[in-house]
Amino acid sequence: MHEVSLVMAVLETAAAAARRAGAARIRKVRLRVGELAGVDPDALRFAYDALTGDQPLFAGSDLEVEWVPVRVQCPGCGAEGPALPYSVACSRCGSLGTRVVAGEELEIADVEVERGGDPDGEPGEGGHRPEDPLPER
Amino acid sequence: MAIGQRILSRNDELAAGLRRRWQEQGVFCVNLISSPGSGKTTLLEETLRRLQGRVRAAVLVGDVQTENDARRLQPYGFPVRQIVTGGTCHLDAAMVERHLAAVAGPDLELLIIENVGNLVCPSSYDLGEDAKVVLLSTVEGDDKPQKYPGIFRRAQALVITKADLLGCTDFDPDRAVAHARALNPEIRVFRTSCKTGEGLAEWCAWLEAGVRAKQAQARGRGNP
Repeated sequence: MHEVSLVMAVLETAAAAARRAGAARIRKVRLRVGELAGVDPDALRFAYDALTGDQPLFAGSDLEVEWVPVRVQCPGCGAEGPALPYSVACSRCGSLGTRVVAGEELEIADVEVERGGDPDGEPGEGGHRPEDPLPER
Repeated sequence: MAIGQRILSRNDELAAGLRRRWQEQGVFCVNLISSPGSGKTTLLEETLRRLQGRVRAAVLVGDVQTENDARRLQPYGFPVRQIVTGGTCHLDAAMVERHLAAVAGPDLELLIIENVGNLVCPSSYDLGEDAKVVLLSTVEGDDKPQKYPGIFRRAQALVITKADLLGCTDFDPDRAVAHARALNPEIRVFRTSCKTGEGLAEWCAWLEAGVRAKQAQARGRGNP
């Protein structure tokens, strides 16, 4: 159950990115988690809700976890695709001499923020009003 | 805003710093990972006993509570430091760095880190080691590599422990190794028993070879 430590690191990075962009609020944080990362997406979501509950910067925000299955590239037969179950074996020829090209990720993909509008209600730095937010990718 | 950054990038940076330090000093560092009760500390007791007079080693040992393991490893004449995490299920690079001064002198050759007993969480945290070593005992399921692919994928070596109990349980060592190699074809395997001494000479020789290789690299770079 190291998902709490992971989410703490995520919040730190997301908050720093939001500050740099001059954003008032974070709407969504997207993670990419590989099948081989040994991380439970539900536990991440649970930890995210628990840890952001009292943080205005994250109020009402969501955590989205993209689950990345294992993909391998096989120099033997040239195939690239999913691996055989519980392995990194090529699903076409069965060779174990593959290169894992996906499935080991544990990363923050992006953060969607809401720019702070000024007191007159003018659009914020992002050029749109908070009630009509465009996702910042 | 695209971020595209590893979640544990801060830990990775600290670990990279440690790795550089071990490269310069010619220190071989291993990170032992297993379920609780697989025999990490017992393997270490036997390892340290055999390495006396051969390698200048030091040990950092992580546990959620107690200094029991450090006490067990104390009598072999090597510096040992307990890291009590107080609930955290893994060691991270910052913890290693904080406790290093207590064990790592300038003549250190081999740093052994015994992680908190857990097959999941420690696999995510780089500690600057040269090799992660996963232990699997013969009283566990031989399908553990399938259940915990992350660590079996990342480990450089697999130590099967309690081989003296083979036959008393349904554990099939060949099946365990096949499952591990399906994820990690290059993984080095040691079949050991701390009761009979089986495989311990090979295991210690591997550690020593790691030390000598690291020292040769450091000399090649113009360090001592």
